[in-house]
Order: sequence, then C-alpha cells, then structure tokens
Amino acid sequence: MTEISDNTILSLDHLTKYFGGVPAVNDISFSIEEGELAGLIGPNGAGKTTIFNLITGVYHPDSGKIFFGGEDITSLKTYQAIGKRMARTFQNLRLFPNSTALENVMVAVQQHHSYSFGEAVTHLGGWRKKEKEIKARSMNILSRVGLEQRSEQKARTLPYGMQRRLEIGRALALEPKFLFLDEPAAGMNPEEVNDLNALIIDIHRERKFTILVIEHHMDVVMEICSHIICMNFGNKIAEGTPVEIQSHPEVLKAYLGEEVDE
Amino acid sequence: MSAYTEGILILLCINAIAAMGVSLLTGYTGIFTLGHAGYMAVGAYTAAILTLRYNFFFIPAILTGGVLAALVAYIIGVPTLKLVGDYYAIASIGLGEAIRLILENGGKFTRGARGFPGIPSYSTLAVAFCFFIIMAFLMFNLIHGRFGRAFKACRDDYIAASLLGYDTARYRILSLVISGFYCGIAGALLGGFLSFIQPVMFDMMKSTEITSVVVFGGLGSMSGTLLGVIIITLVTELFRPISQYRMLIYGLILVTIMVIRPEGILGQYEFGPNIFKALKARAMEKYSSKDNRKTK
Amino acid sequence: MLVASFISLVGAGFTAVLTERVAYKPIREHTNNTLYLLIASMGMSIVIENIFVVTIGGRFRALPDIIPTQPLNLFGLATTSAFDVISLIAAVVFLGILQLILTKTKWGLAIRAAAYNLRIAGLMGVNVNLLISLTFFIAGTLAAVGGIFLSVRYTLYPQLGAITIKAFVAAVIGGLGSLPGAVVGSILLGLAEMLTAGFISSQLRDLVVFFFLVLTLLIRPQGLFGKDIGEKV
Repeated sequence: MTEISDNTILSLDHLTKYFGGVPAVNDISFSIEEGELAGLIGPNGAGKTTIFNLITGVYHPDSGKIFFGGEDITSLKTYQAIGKRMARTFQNLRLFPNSTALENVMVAVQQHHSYSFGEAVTHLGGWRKKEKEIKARSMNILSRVGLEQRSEQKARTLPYGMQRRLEIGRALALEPKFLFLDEPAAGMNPEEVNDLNALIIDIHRERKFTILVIEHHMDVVMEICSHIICMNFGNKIAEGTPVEIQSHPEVLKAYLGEEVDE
Repeated sequence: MSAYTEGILILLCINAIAAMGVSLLTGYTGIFTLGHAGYMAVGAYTAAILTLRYNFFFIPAILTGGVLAALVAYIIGVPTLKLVGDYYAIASIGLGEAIRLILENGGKFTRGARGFPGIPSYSTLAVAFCFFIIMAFLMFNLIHGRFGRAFKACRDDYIAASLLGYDTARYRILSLVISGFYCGIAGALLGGFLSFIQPVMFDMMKSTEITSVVVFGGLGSMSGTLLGVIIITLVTELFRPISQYRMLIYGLILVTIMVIRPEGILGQYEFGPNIFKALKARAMEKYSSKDNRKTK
Repeated sequence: MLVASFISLVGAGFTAVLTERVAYKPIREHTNNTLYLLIASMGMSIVIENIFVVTIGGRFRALPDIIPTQPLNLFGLATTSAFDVISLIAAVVFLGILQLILTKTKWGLAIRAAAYNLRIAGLMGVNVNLLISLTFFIAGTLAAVGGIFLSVRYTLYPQLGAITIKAFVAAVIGGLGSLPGAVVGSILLGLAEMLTAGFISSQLRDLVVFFFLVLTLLIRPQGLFGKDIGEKV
C-alpha cells in the first residue's frame, strides 16, 4: 500500500526483479516524501542494492513501476534516470582510481556547468571562465567533505575513509534532488561513523533534499533517519519510524534469528 | 634541407596526426582499434579523386577527406561500438579490411588494386606542418577540458560514468568520429606526399603501425603519443633495409610493452605546467601512505 | 599423414601454452586490465604470423592431396567431395569431444567455474596456472585442426589465421557465450558467404561477412542465443 501524496518524490509500485530463478526484489512498494532522510535496512542479500540499481536504471525490473517526481522512470536508461537529478554512491566505491580527487569531482560538476565543443577545442569564448568555475565549485565540494588538502592526489591512493567522503562529494556535485547512499559507513571505525553522521545530517539540513541511505550500522540509521524500511530475502518486512522498527518482531527475527522455545 | 630530410619531416607530421586520432580513441577513451588505416584510406582516396578528377583546390579536398572519413566512422561506429572493448577490437580489423576491399573493387572510380597514380604533390613541408600544428592545438585543447575528463571517465569505469549522467555511447561515438577525421586528414596528406595510393597501403599493417606507436608512447598521454611517433618513425627509417621485419617488430613492440611497461613511455603523464603539480601530488601520496600505516 | 597431423596438433598446443606462459601470464599477474591482454594477444598473433613470413616465406603453397578429395554422391541429391564430408565429420567429432570435456569432466567443470570468476576458482583449490595452460593447449589444438583442413582445402600461407575474424563474426551472430550459438552462427555465415560467392560475386564474399556483423549488432546485439552476464554493480 503506497500512499502517494503531493509531496511524494519517489514511489515504488510492486517492483519485482528475478536473477535466474531467485527473486532478488519481490513485490516491493514504498514511497519517500520530499525532504525526508530515510533508511533502507536489512541483512546482507536482502535486495537493498538491487533496489538502488533498479531505480537508477542499471537493471530493469521484471514487473512493477518506479515513479520519480511524478514521472514514470521505470524504463529509463541509467544516464537518463540520473538526468532527473538523482545521484548515488556505491557499496564498493566506484571512484576513478587514476584521476585526482579534484578531477573526480570535476567530472560530476561539469555536467551542469558545461560549455560547447567549439569552446573546448579552441579554448576561446567562455572557456577560461567556465573552467575556472568548474574548478572553483569542485574545490568547494572538496572543502565541504574535508578533502581540499588532497585535491591533487590520485583517488586510489587516498585513505579509505577519505575515498568514501570523496564519493559522497562527487554525488553532491551532481546537484541532485535525491541522494542514494549505499552503505556509506562500511569499513569505518566508530569515530569516522560519527563524523559521517554529522556530515549527512549537515548536508541534509543545508540543501533540503531527499536522502535514502542503505546501512548496516544501526547507530547511523536509528540516529539520522526519520523513516525506515526493512527488507529481507527480497521482501519488505517492516516500515516505520526508528522506534517502531526497533521493536518490530519481524525485524528482530531477520537480524537476530528466531527465539528457540525451551 | 635535403629532400630526404624534408620527406622524413613530412612523414612525421602525417604519422603524428593519425596517431593523435588513434590516441584519443584508444588511450583516452579506452577503445582499442586495429583498423584505423581504413579511415586514412577514405581520406586519401577522397582527396585524390577530388583533386585529380574534379580539380578541387587541395585544402578543401583534404578537409573533405577528413569529413568523409569521420562520416564513415560514424555510420559504422553506431552499431559496432555496442561491442564491449575486447570484441570491438576484433571487429575493427574486419572494418579496416572491408574498407580496403571496397576500394579494391571500386572499378574505374577508385582504380582498384593497381592503385591511383598522379595525385598532385600538394603535401609540402609547409602544408603538412601547418595541418599538424593546427590539429595538435585542437587536440591538446580538447583533452584538457571537459571532454578529456569525460572520455577518461568512460574509459576508466563506464558504469560509474553513466551513473554520473554520462551517455557513454554518445561519447564513444564522438571519440571515434574525431579519430576518423584525424586519420582521414592524415591519409589525404599522405596521398599528396607520395602522389600514388593503393588500397594495400592501408591494410592491417598500417593500422597496427599506428596503434603500436600509440601504445608505445603511452595510453592516455598525447605528448607520449607524439614522442612515440618521433621515435618509431625515425627508427623505422633507420632500419629501412630490414623492412620485411617491420610487421614482426611492430608485433614484438606491442607484446613487449604490455609485458614490461604497459603504460608505455610516458604513462599518463603529459608534458607541461601540470607536471610539477603531478610531482607534488606524488610526494603527498608517499606522505599519505605513511599516514595509512599509522592508523592501521 | 596422421602422424604429421598428430605432431602438429600437439605442437600447436604447446606453442599456445608457451605464448601464455611468456606473454600473458606476466600481464595477468600484474594487472586486472583486460585491454593489456588484448593488445598482447593481437601482438602475439602478428608476431607468430610474421615469424613464418620471415623464416619460411609468405608465398602460397599447395599441399599434397593427403586427404581424399574424390567426389561423393550423397543419397543421389547432391555431389560433394569426400574431403568436405571428412572435414564435416572431423568438426562434429572435435566439437563433440570439446562439449564432453566441458560438461562431463572435472577439468571441464573447473574451466566453466573459472570463466565466471578466476580468483574464486583458485580459492576453491583449482590450480589456476595449470588450468589456464590446459585451456590454451586445447584451444591451440583445435585451432590447429582448423588450420590443417584449411590449408589442405585451399592453400597454405601465413595469413591463414585471418579467418578467425569470420569465426568471431559467426560467434557474435550466434551469441557470444553460447557454444550452440557459435555453431549455428558459423553455419549461417558460411551459407551466406557461399551463396554470395555463387550468385553475386566472389569478391563481395568478405564484405557480406562484415555486413552481417553490422546487421546483427543493429537488430539483435546479443546474437541469436546470446547470454547476458551482467556486471555486479
């Protein structure tokens, strides 16, 4: 049951995806309101990343529909879906390894601050000004995520925590209306997780956009999310506020296993 | 300057233009090709036919050669670039051969396998050099800007690129079209230099020559490509007497570089003001890897 | 003649293994980038081809009629030469053997597993280097079979291997990743080639191959039986 209000920005309608004979995503429906900071949780293999992949056009669903900003985006190709102003980060990091941190961000910034082919080959016209703008905006983003000192460093040589921050920065640089974060805290120590929480809350408050986070770290999700959806084996098993989810029997069963009757 | 030296310099300019085109496609966009001599052939024959039969002035003839080669690249590229990198390479061999076959069977129009003689010698050193300088200028500008970054993104991780909103198919085609244009111009200039062209001059050996020069100089470095062109063209000239070994040597270059130093001579470095930034960044990398050790 | 064939098959197999050890293994161990392997293999094929050119010479040679070529009458419907029938039988036999190896033996299973994920196969206890050498040996041997039949049917020259481009096109038409697809694609392509040579022009034969490649890519890029093994995102 997906309630669609005027404020709904993302809505999944009976979405199903099979891999071989296995339903990775099985009849999933939920909606996210504009401006929410929502969380998608569930044990490994529950289908959470598959949901992200379906929304961003990396996979096509076997049945069901996806609505974004009121539009049916189910059959869009990846770059078209992204063009509707969404951005995502990856579970396993997908930075451009041999490009510098700055270049990684510039690749994103230049999507919305572009110039013509003619200007590109001649370096005339507005080229110099626009390149400066791209660079300035990129440095801004790097400062935002605390990486301005490392701007000229190759992405693959950055420490892991910084790589994660760089990827978030790159996603921000796309100036999205909706940000999908796939396990942003993976591999981080508790101190780094705190910093990450602060960063996410900050950018959410600053830019007033919508964020959907996949996370295993319960401290991240329970602290920052107002709306949580829990999945297991491709099915949605619970949805609600952090308090509701924490005490939901299905959620506890999924994570902790069933109680054995003595 | 002797005619011989002049000839070498002209040949350098011609090879450099073709190599820059292939470098953009293979080094920057990551699409390996062994069939670009076909685009040189299109350019060469177009210019030859236009100057000889229709009395075109040579500059528009050369440019038309480039444009036509770019057009052929586009028409063939749209379907074939659907093939993922490794497979496109094999298709490119077929493409190059197909163009050669069409030219050989072009009857009176292309004079067939016997060749096309009597092309006016419009490729003087001044002409070749001017074309080289202008096209090098345009190419270096292109790669130092949003297109260079976009091509590299498509090369390094096309999924990540598409998830940053890039229509990677479009960028790949663009890269192919530009590389076709460059090879077309080079071919047209070659025709005006030798005054005689034959389809067999643009066979897989020629394609391999261009590609191995690019690989040798460094995939992802335009200055490396130019350095590679200079070294290999000069070496080939020096070893003229053993030219039947040429193909063997090109093949050996390809394999040896891949085994010993796949990045080629310059790797991904470019000459220019950025080289200092790059060196500073390397120092920072060493600093940060010490950083890493501390936090472990 | 059979002795010569056997020696050449084994020789080709070992040459393949040798190239793998010398050229591909170092690259494979250094980097994940398949482009480098591709370039190296293209280079290697040029090198081997030209070693023949430089040593033995590039002219076309005719081989003695070591495989019988007398005409055979098939059920009164058509005449063909004994040679073609023998090559067809040989093709079926070798493909059959390959299919058996891949599906029924332990090593075949290992090969298929490695095709999905080489590293994991290694972690499961497969001797990866030995497996790769074995695969190259089989590939080299099969290629040699093709080479023998080709050179006897037509003529012998170093650029004989250029037909692998047509083989590749056949694989694309049939669908990359599908063995039956490759067979179907080859048959279709062979038919198309021969019909063109017969009814239109033998010069255009090679162009037809290329035309079908483009056509397949335009209409049905995954080929007839193509499997799409997606990348994990």
